[in-house]
Amino acid sequence: MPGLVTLVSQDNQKIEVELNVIRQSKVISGMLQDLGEDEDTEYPIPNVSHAILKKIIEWCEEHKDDAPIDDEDPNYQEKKRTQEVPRWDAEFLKVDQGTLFEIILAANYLDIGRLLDFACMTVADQIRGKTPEEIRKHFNIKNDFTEEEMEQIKKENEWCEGN
Amino acid sequence: MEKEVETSLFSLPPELLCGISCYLPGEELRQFGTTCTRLKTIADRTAVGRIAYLLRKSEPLWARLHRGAIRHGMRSPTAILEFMEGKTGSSGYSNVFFRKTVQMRLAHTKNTDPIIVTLDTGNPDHSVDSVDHLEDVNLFDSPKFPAQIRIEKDLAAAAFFNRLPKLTVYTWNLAAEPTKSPSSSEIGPIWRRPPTRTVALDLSNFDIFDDDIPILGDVQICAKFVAVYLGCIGVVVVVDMQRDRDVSVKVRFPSALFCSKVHRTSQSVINFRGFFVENETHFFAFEEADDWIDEFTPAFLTFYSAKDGRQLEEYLKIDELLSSPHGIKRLNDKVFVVSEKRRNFFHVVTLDKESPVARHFAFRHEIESCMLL
Repeated sequence: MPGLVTLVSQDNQKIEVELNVIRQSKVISGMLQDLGEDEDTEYPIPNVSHAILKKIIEWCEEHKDDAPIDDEDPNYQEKKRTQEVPRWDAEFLKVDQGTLFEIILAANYLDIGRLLDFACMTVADQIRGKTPEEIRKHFNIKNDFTEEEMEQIKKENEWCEGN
Repeated sequence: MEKEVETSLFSLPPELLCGISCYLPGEELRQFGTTCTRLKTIADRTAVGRIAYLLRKSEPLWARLHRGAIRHGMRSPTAILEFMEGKTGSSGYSNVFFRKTVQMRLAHTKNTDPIIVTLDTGNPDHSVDSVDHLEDVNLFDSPKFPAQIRIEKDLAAAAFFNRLPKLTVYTWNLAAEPTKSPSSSEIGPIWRRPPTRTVALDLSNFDIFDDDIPILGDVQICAKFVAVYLGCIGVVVVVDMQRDRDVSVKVRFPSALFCSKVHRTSQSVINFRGFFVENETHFFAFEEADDWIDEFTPAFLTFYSAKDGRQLEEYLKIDELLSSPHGIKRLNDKVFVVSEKRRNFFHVVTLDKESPVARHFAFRHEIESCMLL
């Protein structure tokens, strides 16, 4: 089938994907340019597992017609901080914490800006509205502050808490 | 079989944690940074970056809010950011533009509830209430001695006779963080600010009961100096708090001329209106009466200076009175005095000059906007 490339995941499993779908990854796009768009060439993705790579491709398929983003545009930087995760993406990212962090790592490695933004926003949504104790519980974080440090933080934040 | 390790939040490198935290508004970022040391570092770094980004913007509002946060005693980056961005409530961060607008409106109209901070003397018998009104405050039921309070940019000072014949001058550093009081009012929590320096002056060697009730003049603040005029003995006490660890008190005794004004009528020097420090010279502005006309009604504004010696020497006399107690302001080495007689006139007094020429600038409504006479 024309326009297909083969990606090899961390666990040596192969996935075929359309060129125009996977071009959203700047890393793979760069590899295609460097190695040539040869159907017989296999492109290793050593940092991403098969399951996560499948998820990434599913996301790329959904967004293959999206306009490319300009990371350097300051308006985009401002805009992305104020936008909400679109409904489809919010549903797509309703996964367990481990998978969500794997998606973030994969999106970062493969340089898929929009997916990285949406995934980070999803984690931020999970943090929002929670107390420090609730955040610790949610993400299984150990409180490693000493009593003195906690006292100092409490003192630093007292003025904010009181208003 | 090798057990698969689940990816946790800390599997993400710091730059990705910063990427996540950049979607959190100030308040949430502060909560995030309170969970553990690593995330505190991330939250602080994100807050510093965002504060820098906001300050680089051309809107002066952000610089003003930043100064406000510092002035309110906030020191951690997340707390400063929280103050600058305002509280989000439950609206979420997606409404950042909306919140900016609200914050801007609040900053312009100052229609938020007042924050009550009590200037605490640290002594349960002495309290200085109602400091918001800057009016004389009666401290005791009987007899009642008024406290003189002055609040300037970073310093507040109050003086009162707490136990006759002892005068106490309290000062508060307004840039420091207040402490939360366990008791709260209906409006909200009450914050207490303990005194930074307390100076007790024993006046038992002076006859301060010349007029039955000792006359305590105004308190004036200039930079880190507090000046208290003791009308009862015609002395100005200057508390020098330039050095962090100790306080120096200088008593400015009157010259023969000043002394005669104080003691001959007891009322020639009426009000202490201004205190300025320029090149180690202290300048004091008093409203004085014209004894030939009415010894109880202010008629002149006289500047006295005190340099190396301890005496107050007359520096400049203006045949004018201030339009109001606040009609005297300093800008650099010049003092602007708004005339009571003609409100569109003000005098410019140059401090620390051999010939302190008082110039009159007149604003007129006709052709020229400013005229040098």
